[in-house]
Amino acid sequence: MPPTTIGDETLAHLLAEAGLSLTDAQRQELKTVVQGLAAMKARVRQPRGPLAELAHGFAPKPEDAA
Amino acid sequence: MSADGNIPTLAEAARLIAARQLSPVELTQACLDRVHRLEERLNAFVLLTEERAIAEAKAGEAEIMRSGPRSPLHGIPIGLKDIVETAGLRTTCQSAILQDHVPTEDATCAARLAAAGSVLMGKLTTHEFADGGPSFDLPQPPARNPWNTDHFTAGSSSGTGAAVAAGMILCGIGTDTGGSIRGPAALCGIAGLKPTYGLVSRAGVFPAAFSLDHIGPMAWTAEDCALMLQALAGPDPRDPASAQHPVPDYTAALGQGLRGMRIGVIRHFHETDLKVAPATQKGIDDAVATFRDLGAMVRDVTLSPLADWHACGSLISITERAAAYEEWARTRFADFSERVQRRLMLGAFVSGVDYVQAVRRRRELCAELAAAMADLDVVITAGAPGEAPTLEDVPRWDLFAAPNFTMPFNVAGTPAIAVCSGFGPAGLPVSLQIAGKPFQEAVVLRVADAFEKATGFRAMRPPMAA
Repeated sequence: MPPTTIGDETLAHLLAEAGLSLTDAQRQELKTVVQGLAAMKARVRQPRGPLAELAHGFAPKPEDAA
Repeated sequence: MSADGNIPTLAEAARLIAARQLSPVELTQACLDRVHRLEERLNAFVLLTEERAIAEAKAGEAEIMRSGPRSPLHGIPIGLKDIVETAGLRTTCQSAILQDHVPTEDATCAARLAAAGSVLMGKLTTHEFADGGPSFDLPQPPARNPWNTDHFTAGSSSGTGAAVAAGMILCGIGTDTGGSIRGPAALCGIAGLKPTYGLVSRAGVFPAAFSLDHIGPMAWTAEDCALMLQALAGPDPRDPASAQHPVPDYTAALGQGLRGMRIGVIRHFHETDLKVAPATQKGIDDAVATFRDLGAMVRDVTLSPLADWHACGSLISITERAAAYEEWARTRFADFSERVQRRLMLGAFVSGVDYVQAVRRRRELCAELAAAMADLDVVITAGAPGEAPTLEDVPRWDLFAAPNFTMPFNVAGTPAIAVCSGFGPAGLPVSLQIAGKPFQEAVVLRVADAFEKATGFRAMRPPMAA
């Protein structure tokens, strides 16, 4: 499971990198959803080797409908 | 049709117009009368194009009298979600950032509906940039549910859902990134189809998340959605994701019944993963009985937990949205609504590796759904957890409150429709979702149409629309 909490310094770094200017209240609120995001990140990580293909975009083919 | 008379479906109106028994001008005027009577309570329109609508209806009527209708949409009053670009008409995305934005070119979907002869009634309310909502800090207020105006329409195609349900328009354009067509269809008691990814061009429509965005029809019935999809579907060189796939006749199989159809019930989605309200459960159980009565074979099917689909779609959506709106997030953050600000903030927390893992998970989930559907024609689950909540009860961080039933088919890019499956104890609609294989919209519509015609739910309109 990815980290479920975040410190002020890390938060400040991530927001600066994203170029977002938040109020203190928004920063505090954002900390409360880190756990929810961590749970989502855990769910997309499966035991899969490096050969597992990346599908860079979804484009169904006619044969998918067969 | 009159302002206090019955509201025809798109299909009924088209048949009457073709038989010269219904005047497009009178139909348009009746819809306008409804807008004037109800708009103050519903907030369904960002921009009403009354003069243009009357002019288009008059021109359409003259052409129909001269040479017959161009298509079933000829002379039909429609609306466009206000993230769809319209040449010469303001397209605001309900955002302070775009209040003065007047495009010079129509989105492909708008152009195709115009070419089919439809009558544009106006631009419809949306959550800001098709995200977040309901928001009370935008230039216009959020749309309200015609079944009870204290309640939410869902979003983000909120105005389309409200306007169709109230009979202000006969059909309209919605867009769907995680359920924004099917959610409002479910809570407003109408039909809303999210087509296969790439079937309907996204060109000229503001993005929410590039690889999850779908454009599609919202109308009173599945048959109406089929007629509208006919005008919308097909390749478009302006959309790099446009599918090169032949467009069938979406109405050809309607009315053929369900004998021999194979229907899967993703029971764990709505009974275990996110338990739905009793009225929604009853709607699904009754639908299964109806399908069996109509000759379909029904069995359960198991997929990965709903939360896996939701997590996958949400991480992709958060990242693609943050990329699409990065420049304005950096320079005009305060001009977004609070709800969109919260969504954009999340982009800072999803790394490149997180995104790629979500895309890899997407591939696995798509393969899983394809395998599960190998011997099925469609699968069903809930369209929404229950009746519409009040506007005040919508969670502040809805993304983390619960998974939604619609996201799996955005992740898979497969067609899915929400249709009304009954009413709950508060008198608001509940909904069934029917999903098919890629490009099998005709099959999905056939099942939905058979369900609607076997049940009586299409006979009931919101009381305010009477």
